[in-house]
Amino acid sequence: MRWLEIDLETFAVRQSGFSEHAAHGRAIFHSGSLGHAVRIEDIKDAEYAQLVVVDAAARTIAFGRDYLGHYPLTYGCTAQTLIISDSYSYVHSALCARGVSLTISEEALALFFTMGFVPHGRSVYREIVNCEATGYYLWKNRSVGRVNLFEPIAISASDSISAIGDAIEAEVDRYARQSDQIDIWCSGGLDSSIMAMRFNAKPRQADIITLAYGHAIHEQYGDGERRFARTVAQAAQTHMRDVDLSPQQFDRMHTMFAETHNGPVMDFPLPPKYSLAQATRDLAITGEAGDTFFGGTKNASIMYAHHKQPDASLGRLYAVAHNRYFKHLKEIFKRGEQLETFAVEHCDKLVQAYPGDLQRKLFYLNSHEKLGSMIFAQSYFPSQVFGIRVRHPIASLGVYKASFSVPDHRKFSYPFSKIALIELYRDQLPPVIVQRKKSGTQLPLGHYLKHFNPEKFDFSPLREAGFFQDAFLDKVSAPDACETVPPLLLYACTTLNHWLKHKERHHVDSIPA
Amino acid sequence: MLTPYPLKPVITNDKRLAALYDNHPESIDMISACLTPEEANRLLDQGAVFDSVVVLNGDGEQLIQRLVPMTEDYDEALFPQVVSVTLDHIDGQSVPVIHSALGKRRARGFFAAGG
Repeated sequence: MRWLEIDLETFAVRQSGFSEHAAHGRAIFHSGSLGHAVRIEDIKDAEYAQLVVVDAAARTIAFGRDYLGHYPLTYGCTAQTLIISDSYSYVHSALCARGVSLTISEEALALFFTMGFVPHGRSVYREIVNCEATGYYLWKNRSVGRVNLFEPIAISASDSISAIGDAIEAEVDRYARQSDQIDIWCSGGLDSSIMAMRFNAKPRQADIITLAYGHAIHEQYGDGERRFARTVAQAAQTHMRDVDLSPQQFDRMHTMFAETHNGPVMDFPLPPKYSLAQATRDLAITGEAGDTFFGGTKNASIMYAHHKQPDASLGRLYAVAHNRYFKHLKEIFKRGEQLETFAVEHCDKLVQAYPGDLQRKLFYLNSHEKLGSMIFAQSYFPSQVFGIRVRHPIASLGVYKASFSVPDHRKFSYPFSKIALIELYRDQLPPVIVQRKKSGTQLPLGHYLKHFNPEKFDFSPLREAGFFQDAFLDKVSAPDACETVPPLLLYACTTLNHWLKHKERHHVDSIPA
Repeated sequence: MLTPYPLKPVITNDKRLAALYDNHPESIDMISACLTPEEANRLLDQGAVFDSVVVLNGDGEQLIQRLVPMTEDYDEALFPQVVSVTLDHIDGQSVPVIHSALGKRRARGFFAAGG
């Protein structure tokens, strides 16, 4: 864990976990590759890093995380102290210890049910901010503002995608040299399979690790995606290790995730990522960003809906395309109607924030909103818990720039996704991996819910929040909820509930005697 | 490049159903609309792919042969899901019935997909 507390009168700093150096009279605290940093703008070219620049003479404090948001950063501020950490719980406790009364943001919860996560730039509590990537924050004159460093990428005149292949290969080469104990988190989907093949191109060697669900589930229901991972392991001529994701393990990892993460997340591959991290020997490699830089499941639904309803609000289309519970906000929240309007306005602002035609906007949106808000944190926090490193070669700055330099039709042409990746790697992959339909991570979620600790269905924190419809809470807390409520919605409620419960308990524990 | 077309078409010659179904908000959100067998064949000729297909009241049975192998044990992960739906009469209630059929999970659907 890294944390830093700055006295806003004296600019005295207490910290742990950051490396420290001085440049041009400023005190600079960094993590990752930013040992050379002399100014806050250096985060623009950084990956897997955080940076805090304290300029006592100018009475300013600038802080932020790397451009794409590989590493998270959270802050809270009182009149006397600025608190910055990679641990949400640390900031939460530090504010509570200073007597700050934290309030749950109803809007943040509405976005959670709309998008599946609380987007960066805010958090569940109004007084705590999970820093947005692609920019930095500046404390000055007793308030904190954000400076946006986003720069659009010009599309090259060339139609060639070879620069993308070169950028990916450079990343693979870089990480392959860093460890002789590399584990590829491979579902058998396209992106992780590309990583599995490239990290096993001779003389490279890496294991594949994939999810297994326990003998009883495999016996009764089959093996989900596991057969595809096995096919990749055979093609790569490497060892495949199963990671146990029995219902009991899923429950344990769900608890760990909800008590560690910087926000509730509806996407259920999160507990599996804690399991994968637990099984990783040293360096884990994922295929993250294949979707966001090169395809994106939301592209097809938004392009189709926009084609059918050209006058419809793009914000609404974007909200709906997340395929979560935007259309149920009125059933979930007492102020559902107002929150629905808020969610549309929020999504509309996001769509408008990026340049280009709709397709271009979607690529930027998918890359900067989902990755920085949610995807990278899914690896960062488990990596901290289990003391490993997780890296995403496709989600590097170099691949990001190369992917945005090619015309969008080289990546997505309705409804075909990841065109460039398939063109680059088709010949290296087993045909079934290229031909299979995109499914996302496959898990027996309904089965897992039935084995959750019964305490997770005590929805007192949600009731006490006062925002939810009584009928909705009655429905999700009913004894037969596992049969009557859609598994993802029930999972969302148990996750949010447990996350809130842990923060409250943590707060009580942290109050000085 | 193909103009956006329904990835989850309902194959039918029933124009009344198409009028009820195509502009229903839920249909649009599901990327679904009615196609006649001829329209579906034309799209396939142009290189279209479908995620799921509802064959309604037997319309377009021949189309199934273009979509999935005519054996019982083909790999479902590689081909569109084909669902046959029979409706005695067409009215406003037909639309949610078809949506429900489209939302039904395959046998392998024990494993929820997401993330």
